[in-house]
Amino acid sequence: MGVKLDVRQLDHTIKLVNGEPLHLLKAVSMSVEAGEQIAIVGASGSGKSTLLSLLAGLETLQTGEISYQERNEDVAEINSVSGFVFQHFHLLPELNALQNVALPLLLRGEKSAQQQALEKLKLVQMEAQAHQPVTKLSGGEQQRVAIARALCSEPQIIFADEPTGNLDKNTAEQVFSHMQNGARSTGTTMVVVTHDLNLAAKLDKIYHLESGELKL
Amino acid sequence: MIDAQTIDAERESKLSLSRASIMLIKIFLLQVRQGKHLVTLFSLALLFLYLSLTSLLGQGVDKYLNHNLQTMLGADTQLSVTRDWHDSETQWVTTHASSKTFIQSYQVTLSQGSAYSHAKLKAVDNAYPLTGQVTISTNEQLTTSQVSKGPKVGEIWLEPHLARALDVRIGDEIRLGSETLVVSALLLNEPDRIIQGYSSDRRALVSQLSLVALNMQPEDRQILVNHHGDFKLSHLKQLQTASADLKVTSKLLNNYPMAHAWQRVQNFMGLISFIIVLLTCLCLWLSQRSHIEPVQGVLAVMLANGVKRQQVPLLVVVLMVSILLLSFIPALLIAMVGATFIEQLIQQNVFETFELMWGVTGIGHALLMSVLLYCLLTIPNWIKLLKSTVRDLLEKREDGAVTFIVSGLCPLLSLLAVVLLNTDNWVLTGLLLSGLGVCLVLLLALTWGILSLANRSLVDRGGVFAFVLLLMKQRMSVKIIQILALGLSATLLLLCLRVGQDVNRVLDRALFEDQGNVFVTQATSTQKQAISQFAKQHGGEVKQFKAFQSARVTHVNDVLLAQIDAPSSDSKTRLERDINLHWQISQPDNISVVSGQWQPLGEQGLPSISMEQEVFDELSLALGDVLTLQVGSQSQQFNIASVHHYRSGSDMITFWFVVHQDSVPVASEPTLYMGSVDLPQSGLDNLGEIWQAHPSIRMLRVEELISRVRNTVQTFMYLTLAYGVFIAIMSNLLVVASIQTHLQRDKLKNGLLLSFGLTEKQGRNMLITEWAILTVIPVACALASVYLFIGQIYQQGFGLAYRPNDLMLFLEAVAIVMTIALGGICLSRKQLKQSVVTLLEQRG
Repeated sequence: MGVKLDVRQLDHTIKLVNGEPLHLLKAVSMSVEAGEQIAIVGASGSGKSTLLSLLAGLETLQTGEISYQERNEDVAEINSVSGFVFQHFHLLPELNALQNVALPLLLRGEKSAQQQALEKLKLVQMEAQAHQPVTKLSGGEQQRVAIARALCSEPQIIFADEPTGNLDKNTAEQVFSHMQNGARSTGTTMVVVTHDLNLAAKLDKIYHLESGELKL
Repeated sequence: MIDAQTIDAERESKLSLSRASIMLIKIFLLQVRQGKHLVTLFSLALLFLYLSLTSLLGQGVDKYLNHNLQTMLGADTQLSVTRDWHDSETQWVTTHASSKTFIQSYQVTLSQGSAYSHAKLKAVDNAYPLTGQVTISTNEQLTTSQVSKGPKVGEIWLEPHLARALDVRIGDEIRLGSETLVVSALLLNEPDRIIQGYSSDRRALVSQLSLVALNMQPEDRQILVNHHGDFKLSHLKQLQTASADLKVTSKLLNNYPMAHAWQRVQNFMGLISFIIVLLTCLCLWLSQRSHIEPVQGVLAVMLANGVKRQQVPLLVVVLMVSILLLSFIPALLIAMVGATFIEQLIQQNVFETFELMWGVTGIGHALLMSVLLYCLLTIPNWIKLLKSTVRDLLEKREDGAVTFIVSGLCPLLSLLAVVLLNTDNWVLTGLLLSGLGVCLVLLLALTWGILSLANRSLVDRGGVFAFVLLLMKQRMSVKIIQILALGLSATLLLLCLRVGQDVNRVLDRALFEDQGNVFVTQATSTQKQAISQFAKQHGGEVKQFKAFQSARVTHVNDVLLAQIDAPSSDSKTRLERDINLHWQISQPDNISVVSGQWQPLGEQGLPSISMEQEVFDELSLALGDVLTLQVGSQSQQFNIASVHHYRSGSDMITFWFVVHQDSVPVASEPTLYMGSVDLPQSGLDNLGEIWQAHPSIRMLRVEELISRVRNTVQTFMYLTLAYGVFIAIMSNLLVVASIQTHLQRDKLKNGLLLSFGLTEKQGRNMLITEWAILTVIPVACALASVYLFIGQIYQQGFGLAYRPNDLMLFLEAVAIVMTIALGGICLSRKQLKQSVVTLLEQRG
């Protein structure tokens, strides 16, 4: 069962290189139901990734409120029930593909972490490369490992920042369908930031971020 | 009230923290295996190894010296003269002594059958020893016993190696001229030993009453004095002023010979220690970014995968402890093995009673210092890691202003910590820091000036050179760290190389090659004739004999020698004793005049004198200064007309002071001779004949002379070598750190340039230009600051005159430039040989 997400009056300002403030997010509010899959689209520099980072707890909240509910109960630590897929994968180069995928489970002390990780690698058709160092994998393969890692801990919500931004069209479709199907099968909520409108169209809702304002 | 759910939650949190810690350590170890963090780990290990070693050894030496100082002074004050006591002096002693003892020293030759040996004979009265006890042994196994009296009349105590040389046992009789003395004990130590220095002289102790019949003239006379409770320093000063040629050694004056020698060694070791610690700091400073970044990446991924934010500080602490343990444990083991080895080496070669001080305090201090420096130097990056959001960490965003300030402040704090914890000579540290400060200012000014000027003048030209300069100017905030670190380390390196070479030069001089195999240090005219006769008889040859008279320098420009304004030095200390005053009409072949004129003729006024350059420099004298010399009872003034130094290629006997033939010898004082003789083996085997006939001849085989200094010289060479090894390792590490620091950052730049179609030749030229600027600026600044401060450092730190060797300094600077630049170019060229895609990829 996924997490329900409520965002109210989110404001976020960043400082530019010249010291000038830039009001990136203006009174952003949104609601995502449990198991729902939404896309946030917008031009480059519109603040999509910042919004996603704020939702996932990767960025410090300035003003506004974000709440997460799982079976009508508040979730205190979002990163304990979430998975994140980064545009630049952020796999640990010291570990092989299987170890990278198993990382969240190992941190939680799951006994069958390796076995579960292998299952997720199968899901993204990467079981053959399980023991390969991630530095030897192609971009598409690395992204599939990153998706497997995000799915591995059976998260209640997945945040994905341009998950196919570095991939060619065919690979992008394959990778995205792996992620989407994985999330659907478990009822996981999914928030995807993308500038690819075709990809966004495959999701339940599309939010547009423009001039700091979020519109459905 | 704590409910079960809370306990479960806490347990879960702890479990999660321990799992996260283990995971983090595992990944850290994997990173180490892949070659990351090595500079940091090696730097820390070397720092701890060095500090532990010096702590173990330094405490041992301190303990040894403390023991000597506490138990071997033998009195509050020692007075020493080479003539008879004046009434005023004995009166002073009577007034200010609560107890006293008179000692006379003779240079004699002792014999037993066909065996003979030259020895220093100390004759004592019934009051000896004044303080403490004499350590002797009455058996061959050298079982020690303490006695509070000197030998009885007709008895003699020999040092064990003198007894071995004479092949005598306890109870045997030996001869001193016409006297026969019974060896009643082996002399191991006397409470006043330190005052006479720890030379390898063969020594013996006898009652003064045993020598009455021999009617010998003592070489030295001493009085050991214990004072009343109200005795003051001013009383000593009063005595010194009244008797200029009287040597006063006192607890109140802190002028024991060992104290001076140890001070110089401590200064040298202190300076090198300080430099080693500074080099480590520079290494840690340079490598901190490449050290923290990989950890930062791992923590960011772990945070994104369930690790709680509040666990991060604890994880950082766990990681820091792991890093420190990983570097300290091997270092401690190596330090323990190394210190034990050095202990044995010192015991065998220098001090038999030397031992290491195994204690928690020393190691604890080393540990504290290493941990403190590591924390201070890495704390800005850890703070940044703790304060940053996960997104900042993942995207490796640049430092904020606060972190930037902290980054600058922390190296300064660590430098302050080094100074406070590692300095016992503020003058030397001050000079070194001034040198580094000047270097720093020069570096900043020169880097900014050169890059700005070059950019302006080359703005319209284009080409690789202009492009490199433009890039460097734009990235100056990044490059300046590299340039500063290189500049400071080059300064320290150049200084170490200079000091190391000069120390070795001094040591080498101690192992001079002689002409002839017997060296006569002092013989009377009769003894000189006997030696010449002996040499002729055995088919040998007298190489040379040079006349001199014993004299003492009492005043410089009418100021007492002890009160002249010159830093403490070997020369100044040596001049507290008698010197050999030589005379010549013409300039000898084996010296060359470096300034002034050799005894100018036709000048009116005072007779002229020539002084050896090092003594002249160390006493801070100038041509035209007036020296007052006491020859016997006659005091005479000389005008310094020239400065000379030894010129190789001719005979080896030179004198510190050479005057015009007319001025000396003083008719009432004996003329003595110094010389060398080349004897065949038969002559060497029968040298005892001469000694038996003339017990007071000072003569020794050259082999014996060299063997006396060989052990000491070798020990010092081992010491310099050990320091050299540390400095070399640290320098190499520093070069690697300085190259590695920005190599990763240059990767993207190189990838972009290659993607623009940069040819291999252009790439090579760019690298050469960049590395030339990166190394020439720092080394030029280092040269300038060394040039400005090295003279003062030598003078204040070691009491040595710095003799500039500009060519060597320049060559060393070029060698440093070449080493760093070639290293940088080679490593950077590797990047240019990679594919553009590889360089541009931002993996992980």
